[in-house]
Amino acid sequence: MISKRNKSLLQLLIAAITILIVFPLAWMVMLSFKTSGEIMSNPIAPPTSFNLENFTHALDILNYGQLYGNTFIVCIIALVIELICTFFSSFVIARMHFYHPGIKGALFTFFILGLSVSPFILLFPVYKINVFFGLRGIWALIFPYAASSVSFNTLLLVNYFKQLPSEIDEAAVVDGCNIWQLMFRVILPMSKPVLATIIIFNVLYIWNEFPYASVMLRDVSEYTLSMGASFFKGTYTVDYGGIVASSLMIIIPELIFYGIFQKNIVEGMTAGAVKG
Amino acid sequence: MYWLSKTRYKIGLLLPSFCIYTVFILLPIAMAVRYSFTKYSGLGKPQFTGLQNYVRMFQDDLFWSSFKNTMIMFVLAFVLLLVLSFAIALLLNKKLKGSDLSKALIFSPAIIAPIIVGIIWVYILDPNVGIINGILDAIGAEGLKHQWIGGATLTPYSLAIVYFWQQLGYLVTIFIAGLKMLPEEVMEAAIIDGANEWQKVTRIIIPMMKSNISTVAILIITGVFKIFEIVQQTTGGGPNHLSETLVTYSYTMTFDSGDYGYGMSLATVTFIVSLIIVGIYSAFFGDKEEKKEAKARRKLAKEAKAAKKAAKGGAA
Amino acid sequence: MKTSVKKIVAIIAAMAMTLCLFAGCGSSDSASSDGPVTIKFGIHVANPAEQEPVTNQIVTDFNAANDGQYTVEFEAADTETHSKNMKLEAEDGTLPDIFWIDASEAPEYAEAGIIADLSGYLADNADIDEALNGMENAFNNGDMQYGLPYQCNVQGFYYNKALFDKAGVDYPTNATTQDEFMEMVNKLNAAGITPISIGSKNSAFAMWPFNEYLTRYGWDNLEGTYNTPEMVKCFEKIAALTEAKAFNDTVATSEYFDAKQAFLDGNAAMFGSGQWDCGACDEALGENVAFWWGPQFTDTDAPQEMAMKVPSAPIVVNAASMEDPAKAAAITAFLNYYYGPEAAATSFAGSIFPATNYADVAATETQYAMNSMIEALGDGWQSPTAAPDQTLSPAVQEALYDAIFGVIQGNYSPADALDKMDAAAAN
Repeated sequence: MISKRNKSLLQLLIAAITILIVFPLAWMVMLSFKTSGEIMSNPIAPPTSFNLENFTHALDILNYGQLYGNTFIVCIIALVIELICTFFSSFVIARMHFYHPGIKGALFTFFILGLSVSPFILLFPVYKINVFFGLRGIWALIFPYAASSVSFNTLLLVNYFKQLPSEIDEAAVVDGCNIWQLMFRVILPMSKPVLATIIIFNVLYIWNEFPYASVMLRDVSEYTLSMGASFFKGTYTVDYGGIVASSLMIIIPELIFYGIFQKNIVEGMTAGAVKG
Repeated sequence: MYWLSKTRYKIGLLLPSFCIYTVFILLPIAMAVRYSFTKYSGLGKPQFTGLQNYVRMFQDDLFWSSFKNTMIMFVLAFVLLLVLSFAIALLLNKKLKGSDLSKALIFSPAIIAPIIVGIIWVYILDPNVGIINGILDAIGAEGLKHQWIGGATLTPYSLAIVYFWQQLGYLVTIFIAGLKMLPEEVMEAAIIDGANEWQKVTRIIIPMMKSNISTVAILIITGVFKIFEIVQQTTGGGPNHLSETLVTYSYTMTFDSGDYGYGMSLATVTFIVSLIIVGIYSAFFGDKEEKKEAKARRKLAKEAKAAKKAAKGGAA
Repeated sequence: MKTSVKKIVAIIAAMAMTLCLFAGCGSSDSASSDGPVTIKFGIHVANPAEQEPVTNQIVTDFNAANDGQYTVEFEAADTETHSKNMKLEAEDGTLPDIFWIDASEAPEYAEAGIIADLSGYLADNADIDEALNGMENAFNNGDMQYGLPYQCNVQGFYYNKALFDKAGVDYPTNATTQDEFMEMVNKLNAAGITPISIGSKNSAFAMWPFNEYLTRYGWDNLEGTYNTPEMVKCFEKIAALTEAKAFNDTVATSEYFDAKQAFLDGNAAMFGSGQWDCGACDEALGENVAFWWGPQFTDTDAPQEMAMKVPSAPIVVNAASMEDPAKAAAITAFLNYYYGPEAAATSFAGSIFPATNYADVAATETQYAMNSMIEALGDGWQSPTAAPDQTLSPAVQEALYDAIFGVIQGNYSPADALDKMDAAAAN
């Protein structure tokens, strides 16, 4: 067992690491109360007053209701598509029986190839593909987003499914489960922690994604949150205050979302769920 | 399981992922690779120029310096991230007071907008107005002051640290999810057997988390080869492209210099280098069982061949 | 078992349908012969009301004056995205009717036959042709007039008179030479004042004062090669500034915006920029702000009496839109307004030099920076057709920016820097 002294030492260590890592975020919150000029002239000094002007200005310029709404819709639809697709395909790769075992490895490699691609390489080609399919507005984002998550989700899901003991499947089949029951009643409940991780990552990716959003969306009414910051940086002018404020407006829902998820799902998964 | 592994299930379940992935990832990659053999500005018709872009690349000093920077960042970020994110996940998994809060907060850098990451780190690393050199000045350690960014040598190292800071939360989250998977009986048994913490980690946790570790390793490798915003926002690849990475250099060529063809050839090489490193990693640390299986299969094939040959020889 | 197969089929079918569904709702053209005509103006900032207020005002006024007949709508995105978007839209035929484009990229659009020849328009509108006063020549490739200047750029150094007074240094004049300039830098440094504020992280944004250097070393006479004795001399003058510690310490890591802020805060005596900063300078420094072209050089035969008053990037017209008579009429009406005296007055009021010249349009007394520019222009010097950095292809332009900042930061020798430009031109 850990001794009391060691325990408090470890706690101290955790606190130190956390502070070191959170420091820039705290700094950013502080910057949001300063004017753009103050940020540039002296970024380290604390704000002179508790000034909410950056936020009111950001709310003036941008229609946050619409931005949140659009981002939320894109997020939900893309998430549903990609989760269903990759849950199925990863199940096949990780747990189904192949006559040639090499095929499994090949499929896995095939699906994770996409991790190595920087998104901007795909910008022009994906635009052309969207035009070909007539995908416009948020639909021009949903499919590329869903596709971008395939590699990441496959990597996580397959490696997770492989860790589940293979006896489960056999027991389920002996009990008379068909394939859907096996996937949804047996495997799915056991995959909560990895699904939670995947959902967090997928949502944050879509929430922050800029390159596709900036090129695919034309109409201001379709804009997503990540495009907010560009409203504060012109060719010869920059409003750092506005950028910081609009970034915080993006981050706050993310922090809440992550907090809730972390607490209720990742933590809520009882150790007993994996009995093996 | 064997009974449920019917071909039509396999195909049916793979198809949705396959379609969307092929249309929106693989096809675009193929298109980009095709452009890498052309001279193309993004407008009009691309002109096929064969391997000219690749020949140019190998003679391009900036390509090699970007390559070097990327490799420096890769090595540094790989070691730091893999070791420390695992260590921090272990620490946070101890269910100590405050670890819940830490888990949420440690994730925060991942969600700060890139442009803000740039502003923040410039004011930490800048040789003249940055906090680090300010502190070194204040404690009288002027000898330790360096040109952390903006100079020709240290920038990639500094940027690896920024990347480390940004990615740590992500990877810790993945490790924690993996740690939660470990059956508690095994841990308890280990404690009864009198294993100390170190033995527990090296003999039980690490071997049981093999696939988790390889997930993280692959994410780090592929992630480093996509680092973009951090560089763009802190140094813009400068001074004079000396802190450029493969991705930022390829972006600069594609969009700032309007040389889409050359930019895509740089991107293609980046993609391949990243794949090679993932391949090397998998060859050393990949799934041992699958490798065993493959080995066994090769052996069988060899034997069959030998037997066939022998039979043939016998006939002659 | 059968139901499961159906489910799979259903999922795939649903996906295929979603794809096809959106394939259906394709184009919906807005242009018709009668009723109000809407034209799109593609602009290089995301929020024109705040980031290009003058253009925004001109468009608003135009829309008000032509209520019910013509409407101009912005298609707005930040510069980098805008430039990508225009290339993509050129491909699928959805380009806006009028759009801003970087001068280095415009010739490609002209060659690709995407943008309209405006020489007919200029011939029909002699008054506008006259008001442009040759400024449009930068966007004529001999075959066609592919664009018109968006605005007029006046580039050089802003300086803070108060800091010059503090250091006891005389203000620069149109006749100030390089030697006098170096002396000025030394005196400012001796007084503890940063002589020149420049941020080179985004190198394209600190190029402006050096356009004058290039011109005064005969940039327009260069024939294919950049590494010439004259250009080496020019770059040596830039290197001399670094050697004399003329720039702020943060030149490598700070951005144009930070450099500007330092000047506006009174932390640097000079700031290399252009006319778009007049408003900000007036606001921060008031009557202390003034403008200077940069030094004259004595070791060259190239003409020194050159004023860097040049066209900014062009706006171009979509060739396809000009084929639709209703749209062509709206575009013509808008160009007439944009290059007319009313818009010029709006522009002056917003501290921006319009591309046009009209006799009775001028700056007010409190527009100090602008008046100082007008004074500098008062000698009636010649101007180059275009700023040196605006005469290059995107790749060579990048190389020029790199060359200048490589020299400023001591990474390149003048000859190395010029060799890199030659290498970029060869690719």
